Amino acid sequence: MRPPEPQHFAMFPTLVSSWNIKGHPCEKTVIDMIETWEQVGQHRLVKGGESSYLTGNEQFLSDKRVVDLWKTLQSCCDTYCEEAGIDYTLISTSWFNKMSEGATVGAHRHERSVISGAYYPYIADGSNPLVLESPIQQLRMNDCIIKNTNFSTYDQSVPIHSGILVIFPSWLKHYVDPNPSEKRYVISFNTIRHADKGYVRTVKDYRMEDQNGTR
Amino acid sequence: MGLGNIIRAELPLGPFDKADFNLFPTLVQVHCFDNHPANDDIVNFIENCKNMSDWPKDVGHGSTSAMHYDPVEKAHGSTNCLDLPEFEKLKRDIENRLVDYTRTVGIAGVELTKSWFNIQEAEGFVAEHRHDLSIVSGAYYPYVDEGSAPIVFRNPISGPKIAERPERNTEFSTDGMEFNPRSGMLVLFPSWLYHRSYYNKTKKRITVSFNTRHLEVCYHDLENPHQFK
Repeated sequence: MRPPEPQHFAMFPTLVSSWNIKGHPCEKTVIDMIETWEQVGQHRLVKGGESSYLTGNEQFLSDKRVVDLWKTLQSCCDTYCEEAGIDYTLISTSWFNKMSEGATVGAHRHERSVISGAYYPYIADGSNPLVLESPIQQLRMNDCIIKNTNFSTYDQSVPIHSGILVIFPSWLKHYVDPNPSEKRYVISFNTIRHADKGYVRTVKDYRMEDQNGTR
Repeated sequence: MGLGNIIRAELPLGPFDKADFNLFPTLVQVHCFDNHPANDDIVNFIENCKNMSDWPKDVGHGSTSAMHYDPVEKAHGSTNCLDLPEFEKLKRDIENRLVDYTRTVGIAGVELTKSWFNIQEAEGFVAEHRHDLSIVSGAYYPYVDEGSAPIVFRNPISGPKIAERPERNTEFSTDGMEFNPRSGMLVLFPSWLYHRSYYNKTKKRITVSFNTRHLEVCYHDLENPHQFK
């Protein structure tokens, strides 16, 4: 007689959410902004590409031309927090990276942020995915892994195409392998706890400004 | 980076608005050995065992075979209880379930190394711990009174979550998960996963615990052998 099937409990997962916002009303504007933005330079993590991340306090999404995009991304952050069961967050800093063929992004996490996002307004076909590193890798010193499964893998790639938004916990290390395509634009952003917004002067909740008629 | 052993999450086919990925989970398996034929003999053996010692106060409260000093071996906890004749059938069943566990996770096979049993009565508990040097560990409950204290696993990724504040308990935000034991239940888990048992409120909660090590790895079987170079 076959023994009864075991109950599998896939415990303590990390939530990563992906939205398809292709065709967003701000899409063309934001691509134009990326292509004509003057304050770009080299970033130590973005090899072979350009970044608008220069001071660490960039507010790319605060530009009034893309406030509707800010609201969409903020709404997705709210949904993520509800599903994860954590306090609401507010977009704090935002910047973009422009990558061409061969460009990479080294493994990193986003310190002093709660959740982070990567929105891809335009990427050429064949661009490399975002790869996330397992947070339990360091615990598995004794394991001899012989097969890649959802339980054993050390790296998980999230497929992307133009219009995809990926939201993940800021502590989750991630990277991009050498990009094979000619063009890969990504707008990244960090967040703070909504309850902490009074402590950070540069953070604004544009939904509230609409209500107050101050914009 | 770039080892080629990356799992690809798949977006839904066709248009979609949103997709969720529950990444990097930890596998805990629960097997049920209801009416295991060896159970009565095992419980009888454990209850009449003379080679029991109390847990040190910082480890827990209850009696265990793990701390027993063996004057022949001149060592603590040298008795591998699953090697005793009374446990033979149970050992075979556990070994079969370990095969299922390691295949599901994708790690090489394991063999039992050390095994011991514990008895917790009212107020018994086991402080939080992990099983160093082991691969997969397990707890089999040959007999527990109904309502006995659960085994509680601590979320292994609570450390990096210092910047967020849980608003409600979800599988993503929880600090731990607990399993209420019942007689005939086997729980398998990675040895690195911290766990404990709460204060027990019943008269009897018997556990058989064990550790494992990898069988000799056959490198021809590896899906990605280059990752071990």
